[in-house]
Amino acid sequence: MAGIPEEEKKGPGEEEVEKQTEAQMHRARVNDYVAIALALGMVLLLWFLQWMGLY
Amino acid sequence: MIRGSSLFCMQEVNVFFQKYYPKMCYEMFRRKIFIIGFIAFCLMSFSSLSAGEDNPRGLDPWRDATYMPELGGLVNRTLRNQYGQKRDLAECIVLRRSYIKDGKAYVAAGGLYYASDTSYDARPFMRDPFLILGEHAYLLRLKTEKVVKKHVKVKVKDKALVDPSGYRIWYDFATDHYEKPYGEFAFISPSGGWPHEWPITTSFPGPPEVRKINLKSGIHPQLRDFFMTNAYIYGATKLIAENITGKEAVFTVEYPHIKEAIFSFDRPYVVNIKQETFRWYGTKRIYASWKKEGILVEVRNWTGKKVLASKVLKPATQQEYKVANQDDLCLTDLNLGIHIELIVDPSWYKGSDFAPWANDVPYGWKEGTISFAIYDDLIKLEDGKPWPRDKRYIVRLEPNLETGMLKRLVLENRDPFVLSNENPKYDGPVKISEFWDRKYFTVVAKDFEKDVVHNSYVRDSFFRRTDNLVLWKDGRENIDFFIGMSPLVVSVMEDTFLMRLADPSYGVPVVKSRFTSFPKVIPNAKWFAPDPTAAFVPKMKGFVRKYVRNRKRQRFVASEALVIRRSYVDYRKRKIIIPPGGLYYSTRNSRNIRPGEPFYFLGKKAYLLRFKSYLVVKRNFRVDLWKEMPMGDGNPIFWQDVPLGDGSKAMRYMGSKIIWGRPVAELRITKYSGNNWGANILVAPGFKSYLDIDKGALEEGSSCSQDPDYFFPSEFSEGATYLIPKWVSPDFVEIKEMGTPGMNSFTFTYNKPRKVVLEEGEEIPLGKYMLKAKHIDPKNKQVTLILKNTSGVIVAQKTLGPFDKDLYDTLPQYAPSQQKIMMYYKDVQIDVDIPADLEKGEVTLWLATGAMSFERDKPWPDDPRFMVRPDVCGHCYQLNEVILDNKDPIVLDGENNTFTGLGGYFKIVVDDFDGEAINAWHIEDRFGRKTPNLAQYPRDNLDVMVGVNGTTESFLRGTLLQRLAYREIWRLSGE
Amino acid sequence: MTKKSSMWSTLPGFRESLPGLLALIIIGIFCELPGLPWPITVHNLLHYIDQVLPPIYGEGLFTDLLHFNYVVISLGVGILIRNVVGVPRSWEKGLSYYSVFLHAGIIMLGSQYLLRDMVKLGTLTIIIMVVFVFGSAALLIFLGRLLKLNDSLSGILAAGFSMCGVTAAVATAPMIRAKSEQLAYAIAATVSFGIFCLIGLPYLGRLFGISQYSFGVISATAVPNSAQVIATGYMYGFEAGKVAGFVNIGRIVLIPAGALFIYFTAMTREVLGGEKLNIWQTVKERFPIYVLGFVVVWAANCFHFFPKPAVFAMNKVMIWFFTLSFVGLGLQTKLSDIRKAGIRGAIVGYLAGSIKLVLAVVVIVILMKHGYME
Repeated sequence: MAGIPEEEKKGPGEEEVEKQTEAQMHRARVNDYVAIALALGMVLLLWFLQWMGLY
Repeated sequence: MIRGSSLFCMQEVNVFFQKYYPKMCYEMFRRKIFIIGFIAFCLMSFSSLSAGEDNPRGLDPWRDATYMPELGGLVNRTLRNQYGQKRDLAECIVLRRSYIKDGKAYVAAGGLYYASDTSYDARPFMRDPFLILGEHAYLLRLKTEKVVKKHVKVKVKDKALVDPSGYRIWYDFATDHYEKPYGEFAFISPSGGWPHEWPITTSFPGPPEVRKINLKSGIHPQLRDFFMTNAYIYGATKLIAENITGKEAVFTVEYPHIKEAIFSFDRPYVVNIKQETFRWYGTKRIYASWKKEGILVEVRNWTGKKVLASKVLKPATQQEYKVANQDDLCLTDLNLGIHIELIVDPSWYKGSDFAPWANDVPYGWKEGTISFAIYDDLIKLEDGKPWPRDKRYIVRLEPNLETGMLKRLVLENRDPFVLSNENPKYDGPVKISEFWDRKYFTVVAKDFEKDVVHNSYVRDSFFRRTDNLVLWKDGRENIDFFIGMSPLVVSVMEDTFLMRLADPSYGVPVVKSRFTSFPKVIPNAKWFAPDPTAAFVPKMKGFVRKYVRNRKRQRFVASEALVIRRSYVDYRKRKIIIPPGGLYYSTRNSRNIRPGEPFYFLGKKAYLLRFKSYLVVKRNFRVDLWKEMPMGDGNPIFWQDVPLGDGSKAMRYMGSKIIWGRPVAELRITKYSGNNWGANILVAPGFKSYLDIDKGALEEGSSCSQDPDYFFPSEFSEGATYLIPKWVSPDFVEIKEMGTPGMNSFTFTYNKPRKVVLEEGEEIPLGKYMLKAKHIDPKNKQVTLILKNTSGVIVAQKTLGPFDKDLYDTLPQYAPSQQKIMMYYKDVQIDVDIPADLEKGEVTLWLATGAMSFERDKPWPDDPRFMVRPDVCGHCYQLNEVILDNKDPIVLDGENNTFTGLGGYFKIVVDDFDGEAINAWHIEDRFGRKTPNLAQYPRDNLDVMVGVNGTTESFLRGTLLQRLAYREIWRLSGE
Repeated sequence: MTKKSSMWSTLPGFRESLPGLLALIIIGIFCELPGLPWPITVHNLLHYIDQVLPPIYGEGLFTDLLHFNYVVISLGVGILIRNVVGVPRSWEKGLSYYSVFLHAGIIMLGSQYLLRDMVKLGTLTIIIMVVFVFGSAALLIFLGRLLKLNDSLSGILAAGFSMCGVTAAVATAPMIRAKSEQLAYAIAATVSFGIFCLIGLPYLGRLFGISQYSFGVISATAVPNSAQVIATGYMYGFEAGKVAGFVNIGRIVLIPAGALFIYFTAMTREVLGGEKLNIWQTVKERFPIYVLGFVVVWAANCFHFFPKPAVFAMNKVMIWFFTLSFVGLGLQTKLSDIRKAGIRGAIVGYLAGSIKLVLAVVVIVILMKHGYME
């Protein structure tokens, strides 16, 4: 990678790169949503089970 | 391990601790342990050592021995036998009585041992599990005998050898009643373990005499008789006193001895038998055929032509008396390496941890099943003989002194050894393993200087090691240690436990609570002990611990303590709750307080003047086996204490067991403070008992018998407490009659009584009154005193005496005799100085003013939130302890976070409470001294013990193993 | 609608991510997932080695002194597998789930901190803690800029060196978009710096005649990793070890605040210097929303919404999440990338760490001299 000039890297298919980063951003967002759902769900579940007196 | 009545009549005085405690601080303490501990111990044990004996067997490690709870390779496991009974197995390694000289550490023969312990005992035909150097094994057979030793002499405080193998009798201490001596004794096994302390005397009537008492239920005056046995009978062990004085005791001892044990290292192969034909076992055929007297079992070779072994067997069942007929019940051939039992109904196995390799019976099928249980991988161990894999070690098979069955396997070094910088290692015994017979551990000591060692540790068979056992920089003068979470430590370390736990070098250990959704809630905390993980604050200035002397110049330690028990956090309401009786102040002396003796009460020196105690009798009642019946969440909802008499004590059926087919009950009296009364109430009618002791041969030597003679008390009595059972079963005990002392009130003064000598007719002022010796009668040995008020009116008159032999024979404990030497009116009291010499026509008196009386279960006048609970000695009716406890629940929370008790004598301050966890709290004494934060790690209760007195001491002893272990964890890490 | 569906479509499907996820779980099990009765784990192996080696002041080499906790172990195992054996392509989709686990873990991390744990320490200690945490974070970011360090790297180093090392770095990493190799780099730097402290700090302490209590405070201020903090304390004395342990809790509590501080300090240059955008807008656009989840859980915990038993259970689940995510992260980290990060980061970290250490000693010696500290 070190040998490739900066210009060439961005040059062709700049749109594609754009798309990719957009996809990455979307993925990051989705990851966040899933993580929040997973973690908050877990937290609430554990809290609820304790409240029920299961452990 | 349960300290006998020491808790009571003569509180075990840890001389060391008391003497050095107040001045103890970090560095000084260490040096002190070093020098004084060493010297004191040398002096103490020189009585035995100087007799040309350096046998460490039966003795404990030196005082500064390191305790380490864990070494990777040492196993702690709970397994079940084939009847589903739990057996807690534990291993430990101990090194004792070593010393360092000229850069070398010397360990005597028997100084280093490995011990494997089971929680109760292991018997044949039960598949009782055992650990042998880390491997699971099952006990198959035992060969036992009885040993009798006559005229064993033991001096007080000494541990006299009964047998060179290491059995010893320990005369722990002597005390007296009616000025006649009795002592507390323990019978020690070679490993240093012992079950209980036993009170024995030759001066009083024995337990069988209590059958004559026969009193109605209710309150009775004190009995004149004091009961105590001259022969402690404990199942298979007997300690028969020939003579006991305050200085020395002579005994005849009978105890069980295990000669030989056979174990299997493998689970059995269980397969139901087929009559008149065979089952395959490896390359062998096992035949079974019906005979009149049993089932003929034959082991034949693979062709079935050659009989390798044969025997007529009867099926083994759970009844343990069958142990006596071991030969009829199993076929054991060590050459073939095979052991066969016939067992009935293998469905028993469902409760067992180790299902057999094969079980040819469908689950739950019960009818007519007789199965082979075939064991291989056998090993025979003989007591006193070398360990089969390593001649450097000797096997010791220690019996449970009660049942005579196997309690402990000990492997000890046969020859003395020396460790030095050049030769720093000594290997432990070689273990028997499926895949690699290897040394089980290695003791290493290096970096020796002239008299000290700096580095010493133990490695296990997989090369894991302990931390350096020399805990301080200046090194140590021996390499003693105790490693492992074995209950054996409790009896082995008995002498030093208090000093260990109260060692202030590491501050006050606070253990993290295990938070639970269901805190343990009880309505009243009486009879309960504090949380086992409660912090222990050994020293606080506001709680007195001082010497006091009585009129005879005898010295006692008077000490106060504060205990909080069974407190909890109601996290849904965000409150901390201390239930009624959950917070108490306790004061007591190292011995019971007799009239005239000083003690400390709320920080001030007080003098006990008199008390009202009595005998409480309860007839025809039943005690269920004690269980905290837990709900699913582990919360106790029911327990079966039976309150006794005035309700300050309770009866508890602590343990039941079956010995030789009969139930044996162990009961305890639980005191208000939550401690057990010292005496272990062992009753088992139907066995041979006290009256049979002299029958049967008590010949010196040993006799081989599979049929042990069991002796158990058919009635219990110790001092003033007695119990006559009607029926003993494993689940409950029906009691015909039981009596124990109670106390209604006590009187003391803060003014020191003064001593005066009066001649006949002489008059002196006493408080608001004038006291006159009206008549002194040397002939009848009587004195008549009168008390006049300021206007000269006689308000009280009493003739004291006669001061005759009968009086002196029953003093100081007998209440009617006490009355004969005292006179009181309102706030004054006059005692005659004993012995009274009236020949010169004068009498010596002790005059006390400012007397205050307090009644049991009444509010404490200065702080009515507290109730007065005097506690009486179960032996001698004297005042044992005064407790002041909270009448109503104490509720603390974030806002209301301070509780000041007993006029500012102490203060409980919750500094940080989040509604669930207590993150910071402390106690302040009357001088404003604070404890460190008692919740450095979050706690879910306020349970605590402050100060050392008999009460906290026995709580500590009860949780010794855990406490020693978490001290170590506390020392080593942040958590 | 279309946008939304396209957003969700970026999530790899179940079937294609299955191999990777399975790999995570299986490797995770071998690293050790708490509560699972499975004895053959890397954690147990290290623990065994610790028991074989002579303990140093009661501390094991790997688990305590080198701070090999679940994060380090799982990351290390992941990196080892990636760089020694290699990772098949079919795992890639599944491995990309690591960030889900990471964020979920961080959210649950909120349940482990209680602001009121600080209260115990006393005002002076709290002030020292707060000043040193934020001060050293700022200092490190400043030094990073001076030496032209990547923002994410200086951010994560700041987290590691100013708070309690590994955990803080982990909590901060996704916020400042630190790459896995940067995280590994930061962890290596903090742990190695901790070892120097472990050896050097007690000498300094004896040189200045620092009391046990003050030394405990110093080690909790200056040494990065929790386990090393306590070990350093013990090197000096029992009392110091105890104090260090307790004071360290105060610093752990500051992780959430510290992480946010670093996020705003480290990320502002890019925002301000680069495109000259409104800060608020950038924050709105690029702020990782899972942080909100973290804040919610943390706040709920500070208000004592979760009883202790639930908190303990959450801790276990959190370790599961972290183990899975760090195995995934490790499996995507090339050693060559770490090497590429160069020595400069370490220099910055060490420099800032040393400055902090010296300042801590100086401040506390002064406080001691004037009788403000025991």
